[in-house]
Amino acid sequence: MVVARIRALEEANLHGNVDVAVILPQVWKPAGRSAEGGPKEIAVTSSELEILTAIQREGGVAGVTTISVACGLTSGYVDYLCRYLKRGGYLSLVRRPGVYELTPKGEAALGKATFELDRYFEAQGQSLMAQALYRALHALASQLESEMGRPAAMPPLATRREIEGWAVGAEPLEARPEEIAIKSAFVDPLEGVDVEMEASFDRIGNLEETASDIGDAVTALRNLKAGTEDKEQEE
Amino acid sequence: MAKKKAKGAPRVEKGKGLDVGTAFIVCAEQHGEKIAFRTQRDAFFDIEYSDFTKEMLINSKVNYIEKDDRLCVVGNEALEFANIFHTEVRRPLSRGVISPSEKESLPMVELITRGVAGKPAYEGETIYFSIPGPALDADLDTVYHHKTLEGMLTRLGYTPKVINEGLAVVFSELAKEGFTGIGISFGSGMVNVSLSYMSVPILAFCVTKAGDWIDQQAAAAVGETASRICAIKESSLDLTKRDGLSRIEAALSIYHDNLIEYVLAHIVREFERTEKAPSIDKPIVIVLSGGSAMPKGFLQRFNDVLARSKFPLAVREVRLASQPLYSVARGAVIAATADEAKK
Repeated sequence: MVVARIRALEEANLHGNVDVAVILPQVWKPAGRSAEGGPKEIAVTSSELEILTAIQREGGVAGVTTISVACGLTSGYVDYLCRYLKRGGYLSLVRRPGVYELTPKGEAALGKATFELDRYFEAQGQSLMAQALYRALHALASQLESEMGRPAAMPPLATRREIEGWAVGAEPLEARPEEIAIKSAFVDPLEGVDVEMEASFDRIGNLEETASDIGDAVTALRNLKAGTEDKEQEE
Repeated sequence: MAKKKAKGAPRVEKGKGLDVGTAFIVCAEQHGEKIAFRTQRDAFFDIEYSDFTKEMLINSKVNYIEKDDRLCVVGNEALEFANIFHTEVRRPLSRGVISPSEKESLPMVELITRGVAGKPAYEGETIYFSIPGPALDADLDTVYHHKTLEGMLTRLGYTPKVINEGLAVVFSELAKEGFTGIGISFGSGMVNVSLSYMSVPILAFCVTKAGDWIDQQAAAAVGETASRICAIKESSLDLTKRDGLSRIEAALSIYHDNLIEYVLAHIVREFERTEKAPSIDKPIVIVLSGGSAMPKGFLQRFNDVLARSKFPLAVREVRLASQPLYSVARGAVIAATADEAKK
């Protein structure tokens, strides 16, 4: 449910109808360095929330294969995302490689996502109901006007924003923050992996040597780059 | 007392260039007055471990890696093994990039890269490695490819920097033209195109139909394995011939024409689409490079198709790179040496 809702929001986000960062500020964060200059913030996307949900459904602990089947993603990709979530503190490794456990932070992220989503969709529902009610009242007022031959005392049709604020009783919508950046944080898939396999070679490959004729090209490129840098400095 | 330099030992210039391709990994570095290219086929073939097999590989001086209960034959011998067993080699890269789903092959890429690039001349030596441009006909994860290689090279002690594959061809071959022109790298996984003006890339992209696509299509057409088609293509294909072709040669001939048409059509379309279409006053030079441009007669085929196309720029000359297999690595080492000289 959580994942389906987030996917719906992501779709709407792509079309510019909603801003996921506003609705789920605690869950959906653009990746980047934190304001304090600390470690990079970890963004959690719908695929990652799907993994967290799958682990929660398995009782908080699940292996990559199980998650892979549950989410319909390849085990390689699931493993990659799990390593990413582990780095973010949402998961921890248990017992043996490839088995992950939901951490309190992961539980909290899921809980927060559910809460924020419920709140958003409830507000959406109330807002739609209020709009429908208003339209019905206006239609009724128009009918009365024509039947009675005098204006009916109805307030003007409120703007969508006013309706949302009035109907839901929530604080006004915040201004749109900066655009959601594409996720650029990256976990090196070989970090921590032992690649010290026994190889029969140190250097490998065919070696071919020819007379070097790159000197002119190097000089030309260096001069071109130096010229560009000088020009930029002058400007 | 100052250390005496070993007599006769070539002076190694700083800076290396690495071409990480679907078929080959090539590293270029300068040794005094010479430029050295170390090439390794980017493929492996795994067989079940046994002491007898291992001994046989050692006696035959075949490069292998022991991995769990498997022995992975690396390099050209992998292709030979695949042909003997009438099956396919395994490729760590697919369509020009490391695939996130091929995690199992990642240690192989790291070992081959390490074997080809060797250790840096000093901690933090600059190495430029090639990356593809944005793919026009596929959804490719080039960020994963880029970052994985960057991590590998950093662990080896290098300062890695990236260079677009097409631009590397321009750096390698178009110095006399002021690094202005089009560099096209016909690789096995993809074809990279870059239009550069005074070393600045104006247009760069790749398409994912390339040498492997030719092999697969020809293999499907004649009922052979792609590995065998590839072996024939690399050893004896002559594209100047139009008549008296065998079934395999005829299929290869057709698909080479198709590939060239496909690449030129994409260049024309990108020119039409781009908002910053360059107006270059002089006719430009197009350089063809890469393993898939090496068959005899490829240049003539390209010229024939180009003459029939509505190419948007005046072309002075189309030429084959001086060393088609090495031009990307060569361009990368030019960039690296220029950077190192600034230090």
